[in-house]
Amino acid sequence: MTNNPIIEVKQLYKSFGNEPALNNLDFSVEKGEIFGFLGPSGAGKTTTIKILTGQLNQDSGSATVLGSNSQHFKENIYEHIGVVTHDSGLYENLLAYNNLVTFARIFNSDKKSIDPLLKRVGLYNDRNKLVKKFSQGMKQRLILARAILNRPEILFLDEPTNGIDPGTTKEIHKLIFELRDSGTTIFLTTHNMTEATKLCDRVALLNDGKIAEIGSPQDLSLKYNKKIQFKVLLKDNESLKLNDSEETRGKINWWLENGELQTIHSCEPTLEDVFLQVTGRKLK
Amino acid sequence: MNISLRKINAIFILKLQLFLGNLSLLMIPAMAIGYVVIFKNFFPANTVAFKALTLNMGILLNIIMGGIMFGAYPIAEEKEHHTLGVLMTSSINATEYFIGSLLPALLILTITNIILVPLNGTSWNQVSIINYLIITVICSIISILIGFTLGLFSKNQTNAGVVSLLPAAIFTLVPLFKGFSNKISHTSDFLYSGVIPRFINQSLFKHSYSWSLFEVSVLIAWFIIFSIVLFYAYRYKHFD
Repeated sequence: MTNNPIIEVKQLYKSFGNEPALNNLDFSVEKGEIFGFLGPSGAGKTTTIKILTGQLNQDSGSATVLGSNSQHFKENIYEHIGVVTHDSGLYENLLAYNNLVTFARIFNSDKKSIDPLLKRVGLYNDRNKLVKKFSQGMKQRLILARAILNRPEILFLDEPTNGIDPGTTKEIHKLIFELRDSGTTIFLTTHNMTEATKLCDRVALLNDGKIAEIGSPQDLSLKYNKKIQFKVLLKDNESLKLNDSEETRGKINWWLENGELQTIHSCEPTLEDVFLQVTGRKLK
Repeated sequence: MNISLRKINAIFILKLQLFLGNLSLLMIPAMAIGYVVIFKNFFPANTVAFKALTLNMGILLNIIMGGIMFGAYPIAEEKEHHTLGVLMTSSINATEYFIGSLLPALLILTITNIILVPLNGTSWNQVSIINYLIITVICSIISILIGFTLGLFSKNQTNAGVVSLLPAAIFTLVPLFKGFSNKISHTSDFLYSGVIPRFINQSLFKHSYSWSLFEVSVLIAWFIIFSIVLFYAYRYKHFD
């Protein structure tokens, strides 16, 4: 990963009435990474995405995306950005294929890229169906397909798998990895810590409009792993949770040498545990 | 602000597809045609006054009711289904969006206006087609601009229908009833829709029509006022 910020946010402040929604945020996102914005509902995730995509103006501070100030975006910057928010709509009275053709015309993309894209999101067989007949999961996949039709340099995903079935979620995760591998930077918001741990190269933990922590999921887990423990399952199905010590290491070695050990896991905290430690509140 | 013909064309095709699939909207030009056909065939009073009344009613219904609805409904629908924000974050600017949305509506209304004249039994020898097109196109554009503005302030399509009714009724009925009183006639003179019956009546009764500075000023004033109102309405409401 190169040290090349593609999103740079400095002292970003936004309030609604007297309530600060974002309180002097500072962070940057590097080219080609999946950056997760993790926080409970109302933490300021969607507000941040709206500011970064030029749909909302901040009160103070700056947000720079692809070198442009988000308050003064020119229309053509959107040719390099894909946006999927929870209120991204579709033309329900058009066929799925025609929805994409419209945006292919806008982006001057090759219409031949539509069919492979529909295959990639698993909607090729439904391309000639009206969108109003689609399930929520199918609509979400079509919205994602539309957002990547122009091969964006940055893809903003606001809770992309919220309310989606596990099968579709898995497909969307696969697609996100493929996009990252092809060089797209992904800015993702979620309150699902399992999703964030699985997908994100780095996460920012957002609480009450402030960034409480920032780093890779692994680094954060290790940083807050104050009490090193191991969870073991022995051959006689006895399950034990052991604190790290000379004695524990000796026991584990003995069980290993004698074939007594079925499974062993370290017990570092999950992102949800880290969030709880840092903010004193749960994610959901 | 750059304007891309490719993007205008994309919006034009999109809106044309949506219009042609929207029976509620297509009912308005169909009603205008139906009204003229029914009155021509079932009330065959072949007087000039009757022809003028029927043609005026058909054109006003199409241009005012149709124009306002063709402007208001699609924007309200975009807001209701959150597609306006999607277009705006897909490199479409306001000018491209409004031109692309206006042109297919104008095309449908203008085709209907052209059909109405022969359907009414009026010859193009009686009505100057150039003046007819200029007046109906300008009035249609103003109606669509009014519709766009109402659509931006509407929460959904039902709401757009409700808020459009009063202005549509005023702009349609006042010019039609101008013969009832001097006050109505005077008010009609200041409405953009008032130009239509004046043009039709003069063409059919006097067999000639000449533009007056007052009529040109009325049309220009309404166009400028609603362009400015739309500009500010869009500025404050488009991402709602």
